[in-house]
Amino acid sequence: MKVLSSLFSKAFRVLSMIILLVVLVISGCNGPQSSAGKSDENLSPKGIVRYAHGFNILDQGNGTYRLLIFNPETPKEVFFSCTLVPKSNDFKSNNDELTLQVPIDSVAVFSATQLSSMAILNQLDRVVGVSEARYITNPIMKQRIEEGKAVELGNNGAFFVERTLALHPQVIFYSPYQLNEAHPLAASHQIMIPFLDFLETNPLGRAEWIKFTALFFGQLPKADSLFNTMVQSYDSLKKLAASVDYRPTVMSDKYFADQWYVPGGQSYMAMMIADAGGDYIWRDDPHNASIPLNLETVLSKASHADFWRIVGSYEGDPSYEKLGSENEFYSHFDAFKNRKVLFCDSRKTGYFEQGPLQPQVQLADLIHAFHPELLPDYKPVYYKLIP
Amino acid sequence: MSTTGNRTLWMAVVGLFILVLFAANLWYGSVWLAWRDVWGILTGNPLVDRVSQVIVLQYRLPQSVTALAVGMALSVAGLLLQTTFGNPLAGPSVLGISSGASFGVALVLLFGGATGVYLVSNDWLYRDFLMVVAALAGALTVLSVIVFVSSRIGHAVTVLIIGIMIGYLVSAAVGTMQFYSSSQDLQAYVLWGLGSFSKTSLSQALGLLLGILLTSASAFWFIRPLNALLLGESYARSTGFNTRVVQRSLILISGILIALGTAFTGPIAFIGLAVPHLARTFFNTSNHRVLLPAVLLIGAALSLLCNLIARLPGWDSSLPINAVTSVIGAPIVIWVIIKGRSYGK
Repeated sequence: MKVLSSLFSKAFRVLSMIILLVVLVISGCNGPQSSAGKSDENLSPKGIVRYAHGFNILDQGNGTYRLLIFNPETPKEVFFSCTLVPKSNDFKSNNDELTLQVPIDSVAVFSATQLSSMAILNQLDRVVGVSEARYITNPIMKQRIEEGKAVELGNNGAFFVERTLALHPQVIFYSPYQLNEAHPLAASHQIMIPFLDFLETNPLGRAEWIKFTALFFGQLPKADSLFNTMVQSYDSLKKLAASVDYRPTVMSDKYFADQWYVPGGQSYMAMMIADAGGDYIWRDDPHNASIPLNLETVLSKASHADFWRIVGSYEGDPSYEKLGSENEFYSHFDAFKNRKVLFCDSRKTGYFEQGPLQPQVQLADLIHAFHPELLPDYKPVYYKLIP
Repeated sequence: MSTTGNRTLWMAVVGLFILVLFAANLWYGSVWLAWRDVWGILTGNPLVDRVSQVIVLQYRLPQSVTALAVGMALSVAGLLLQTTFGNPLAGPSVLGISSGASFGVALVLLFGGATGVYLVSNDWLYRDFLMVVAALAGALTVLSVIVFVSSRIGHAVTVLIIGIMIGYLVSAAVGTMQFYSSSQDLQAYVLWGLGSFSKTSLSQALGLLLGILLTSASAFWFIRPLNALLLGESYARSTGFNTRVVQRSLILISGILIALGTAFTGPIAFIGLAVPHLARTFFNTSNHRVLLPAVLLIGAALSLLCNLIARLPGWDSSLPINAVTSVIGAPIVIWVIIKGRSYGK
């Protein structure tokens, strides 16, 4: 019995340890998320960025601009800054801040969205380095890689350091998961500039990063006018959808390896669904990143949702048979039964490449699905109901 | 606790625990259900709402059966390996058998697209089936290497070390494959590696349970040689057992148990290592006539308990099962090492 009682007391201690650990994990999960900064007050009034929180551009006159990138963890803190000067301009820097002469001749671009903005701005001929070359879809870029004019400098988060040092592009744009992590190239003289569009939770804010890219190639006016057109059409669509009486409920994403990741209530997708006149099931959630949920949680909360939004990819066309065969639980959702699954084929539409630069098109797609009467003759681009 | 009657009583108590934990696994989860509804669902009352029925019958029930079965399989495998190799720290992952299964799964998940095995069908069930077959093939391949080596060398500790080395080799191969695979495939593999009891349908789970019970039952055939092995290979030989045949049979049985468990759920940490020690301490014996049923029962109970904790009743999300089994298993193993006397008494 002595052994038994000591076993029970040990077991009790182990159990209380677990409970403590679980509580710690949970409180960590629900802790305050870094809300993207609203730190306009510490900037000069000439800051020309309107929606994005991760960077700002200060007009210094004479075609000279100062670029500030903010630390997403502590939004008021400038993480990186530099001054961009036209090549023609005889600019003398009065501090030791990095000064770059634009247009930059050779860059490495690791973000697919940024590559798309380079394509829009007709600057792909300056790209000499990429990452994950096999996923690149732009034909011009593919040809440059084939011809050896651009080479792969990274894959799966790993850097090909020696190849990069040998190539030595003037600037490398990279998208770190951890901003504070020392970069393998930090010790060399390679200029590394973080590109953080994916942290923006406002659809227009994410698209506004085209200005960031444009700045390095003297294309700011073009980017500015493109962006203004985008904002106008987004706003007018949003106004159109604001008039609706009925907002259909919307659930999102699929069950994947034991977790159902759904966009947080303050995320990009949540905002877009709301702007399109939809009622996102998790709109009250406080997170701006995706949250992992239990299958039974999603079943009980979303089984009666009107629409189900999925971004994915199938061989051939998507169908309810293919979707249903992935998981027997899917057929229990009303949106599945009523054939209201809104599917975006990420590969065929280039959702991850061009999607972020076309928030107005994504919005129109959603409005067309939720409220077809508002856009009767519209042909959706990204999101289509599975027939 | 030394008398047989007492032991039977305690077995019954653990058995009762299993029933309670199984019921709790059906009752508690992220979604709150009244026990009356759960009971109604189990007894086929059609009035309970459909979503609750799906949650209990298609989600919680198969998950609980899988947890029960895998807990049994890994615990029995752990006991057999510890006795066969005369090493208290032997367990499913130590011999490289789990790594072998992981290698098979990695081949499917990381290279499935590239090697064209998905060309036949992109169906989810088909992929799951492939994963199970691959895990079994991987585990049994490593196992046959170990059996072959053990037939040449014979010495248990050498075989154990070779098993660990095979584990490293396989991990290196998997690591290299991970480096060259797409991030989506990588995510699938990493998530599989975290372990999960909820990938099985009810019929799969019941089939798994049956297979594991049958394989475990074959271990009862070896109770006398197992007890003899405790006193050393030469003693076992002197009592008339062909130790080589016995050891190889035991390795084969534990290998099949581990492969069955791992293929369906991913590698589950620590249960196979910790439960035999719990059983020895709890029942204060090293007689396998007691230990074999004891590890079956305690393994099932511990696994159900871990699953219940991992599900975080009341919260919207759940923890990976391995996080929980490790937190429970690691202290037990440390405690065993510090006490240093529960093995081989």
